[in-house]
Amino acid sequence: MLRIDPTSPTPPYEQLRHQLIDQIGRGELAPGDKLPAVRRLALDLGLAPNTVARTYRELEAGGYVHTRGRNGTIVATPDLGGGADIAERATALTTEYVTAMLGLGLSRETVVRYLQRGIAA
Amino acid sequence: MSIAIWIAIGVAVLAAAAPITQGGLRKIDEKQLGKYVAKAGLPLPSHLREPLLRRIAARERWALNGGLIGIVLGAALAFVTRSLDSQGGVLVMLGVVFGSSVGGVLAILLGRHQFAPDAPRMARSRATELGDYLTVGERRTARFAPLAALVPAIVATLMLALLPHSDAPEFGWWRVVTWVSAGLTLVVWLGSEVLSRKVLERPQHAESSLELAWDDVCRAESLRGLFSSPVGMAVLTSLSSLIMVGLVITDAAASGAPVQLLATIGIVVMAVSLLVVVALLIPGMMALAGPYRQQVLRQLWADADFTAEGRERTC
Repeated sequence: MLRIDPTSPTPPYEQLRHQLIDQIGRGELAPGDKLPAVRRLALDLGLAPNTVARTYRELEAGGYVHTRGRNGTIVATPDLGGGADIAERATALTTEYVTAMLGLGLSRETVVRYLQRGIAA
Repeated sequence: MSIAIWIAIGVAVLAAAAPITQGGLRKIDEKQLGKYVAKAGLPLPSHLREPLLRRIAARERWALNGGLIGIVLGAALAFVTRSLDSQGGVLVMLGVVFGSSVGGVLAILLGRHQFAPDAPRMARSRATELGDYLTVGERRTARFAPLAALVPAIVATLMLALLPHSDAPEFGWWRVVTWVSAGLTLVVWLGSEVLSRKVLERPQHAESSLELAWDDVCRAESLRGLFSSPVGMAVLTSLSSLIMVGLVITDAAASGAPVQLLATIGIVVMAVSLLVVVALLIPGMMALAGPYRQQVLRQLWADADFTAEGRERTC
């Protein structure tokens, strides 16, 4: 969810950019998720379309999203090393593993500890 | 049954389309509102009551106006085609179904909202799709509706081709209604798909995630109403095929045809029509009675916690 506070000293553009980067970083917006269309998000938040468009452009320049023309703006697969193909496969495997571990009722912290133990072994 | 009675039935059906506000904010049916809130499964704190009622009133008002226009147009068409009995009744009911469902959607497409200058603005960070508001069953049923309308029309026409007297002018009206209804089902479904995309493009104005969730509930109701149009028209097409065949095989001129043939035609068309009606209505009834609707919306609200927002000044 995005929240713009008009009374905040932080400009709306900065609030939007920070929140999107934060959500992408925390995985709330996963690779492949589609962001709202520029015009729609602008109307939802009472911002100028250019403000949203600028935010999307800067996110794309930073590698957080990529734009597919009429198909909209998509959250990019983070390139953590190994190249685009490996990053995609690694993301899929990681998602599968984390989903399965969380399905056992384990907390996120516990999952990380198991992962660290596995790497150390 | 005379068309005046059908118009009265249409108005009564329409009144059921606006159970909570009857299109205004002066008189609220608290019992109906309570049921609506319970079904949505969301808290309704006092400060969200008015914004929610405004949304519901707008939707119900547009649905009522759309339905009334549908009744007027249906009745006018009935007068023009001199179909002042049950045949005209079909036109009136088509007008009610179509008019009220489109009206409900126009409330979203044409609605205007003002932001309070200092109030926060909420939005989803992920684009929404039809699947966020309607169940898979509801979407598939709407997409199946044009085919569902065509099948009984084709079967009835082919069966009646075996009876020479079915070409008589007195059955022509029902033949026209059946085929026009089948064609309109396709047009209405296409229109629903286009309009639903427009609805998804319309902004949602909310100051909190809970208000946004309530807006989702209202939006889902409008989309559900929109996609019920092709389903309703397919059901009407199916029933008019059945009526058409029923009139032909029970007509005095049918006495010259073998009884077995008449019975077979009647059974085949009845079976096909009933199968189509059941196939169309079951997903809708399951969505109405079961938890599936709310499960769809809850996926949209998965990351939200309404507990704190709902605790403030709860109704």
